Amino acid sequence: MKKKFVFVDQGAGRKFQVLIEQLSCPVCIEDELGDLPDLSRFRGNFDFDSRIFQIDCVNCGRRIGDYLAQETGD
Amino acid sequence: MANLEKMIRYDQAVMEEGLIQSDTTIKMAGVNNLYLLCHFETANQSSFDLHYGDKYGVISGGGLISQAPFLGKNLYMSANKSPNCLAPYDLDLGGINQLSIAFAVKVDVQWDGSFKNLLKRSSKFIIGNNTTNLFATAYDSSGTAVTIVTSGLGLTWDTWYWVNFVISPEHIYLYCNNVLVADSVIDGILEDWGIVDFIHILESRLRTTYIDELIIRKEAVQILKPTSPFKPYSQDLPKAEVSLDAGFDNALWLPNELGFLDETDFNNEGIKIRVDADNDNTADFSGDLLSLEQTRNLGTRSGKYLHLEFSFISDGNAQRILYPGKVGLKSQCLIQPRREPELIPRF
Repeated sequence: MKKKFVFVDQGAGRKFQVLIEQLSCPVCIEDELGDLPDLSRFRGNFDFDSRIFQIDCVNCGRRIGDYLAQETGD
Repeated sequence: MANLEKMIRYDQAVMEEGLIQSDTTIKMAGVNNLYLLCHFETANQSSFDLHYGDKYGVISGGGLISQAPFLGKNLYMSANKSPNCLAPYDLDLGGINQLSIAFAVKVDVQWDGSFKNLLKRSSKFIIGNNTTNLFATAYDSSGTAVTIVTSGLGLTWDTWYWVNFVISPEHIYLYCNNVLVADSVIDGILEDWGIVDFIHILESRLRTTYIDELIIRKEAVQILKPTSPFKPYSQDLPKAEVSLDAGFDNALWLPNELGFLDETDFNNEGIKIRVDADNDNTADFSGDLLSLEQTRNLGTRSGKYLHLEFSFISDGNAQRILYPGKVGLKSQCLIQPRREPELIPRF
């Protein structure tokens, strides 16, 4: 399932958007967590300066990926 | 002269917002498009009070809610080892394209930065928190999960926040304490919400997270305020007024003959009355709200018109209903007794 994250800085009136085609942990995919469809199994951090969205697996701590966000006017 | 009876009907009643006329009665109105409302005020660990539409019930046992302690007198739901689930059976979210979800939430310890689901309905919506910020997810018409994440919200521990997530056909909004904190356009939403599904509360398994006053409405309401105003039956004391016409001036109205088809809500202090009578049809209500019994002891009132004001009082959970009634009246003779002519001696 595609996941689109929209990070909103309401005070500054800015929004950044990341579209992720698939979100799963390569290590935990075989364990009881299955294909990790659930947001609660990820730790995410978005840095507004670098526009990088980092996602880690909560279960094993592995970095899932660094995603560069695009500014959006929506 | 024998007493007359005047029927009390509500066809011409003047009603404030929060009341609805139904057949011959006046009822307190429920919340529009209410899908689910949970006050979590039932002190039983395996049950909770549930409102849907204009109905009310207590769901208990059956695994509908798991390990949910209710704390103190002012009760709310807290997380435990297992995620708590609400299964509002017999509720239908099918065929709608908008939704509003609101609840109060408090976290007692620092969050670890991972996404924590506070409330989720599988593949429909998710609301959660991430360290000191909130996020919310809706699924658009292509099935893409669109998540809006706040920035710089600065949520702190041990503080209640009022969270409101609004899904309209083309836009989603996230409010915190009635302030818009994130929003985004979406490419339409899934309209097939299904009929029966579980709503997971505090799925993040945080043991010290609390939730209260959950409201889900089948319409996009931008600001859903917490607690009492949005309980199913208003605490705002809505009033209804009705005027009775005797058909002749200076009728004597007899409050001691005031009666209603069903007086349950008078007897439990759910409906109070004030009365006024006049010949020129200008109601003037003043003074304390009276019980039915107190009103019956008022003594007669004189005038062509008798005005009745009904105030509906609810603790938020009970729907009050005003039934038809009657009141006695009689005419009074206004001709002065004939006086014997006075004989004035002439001298």
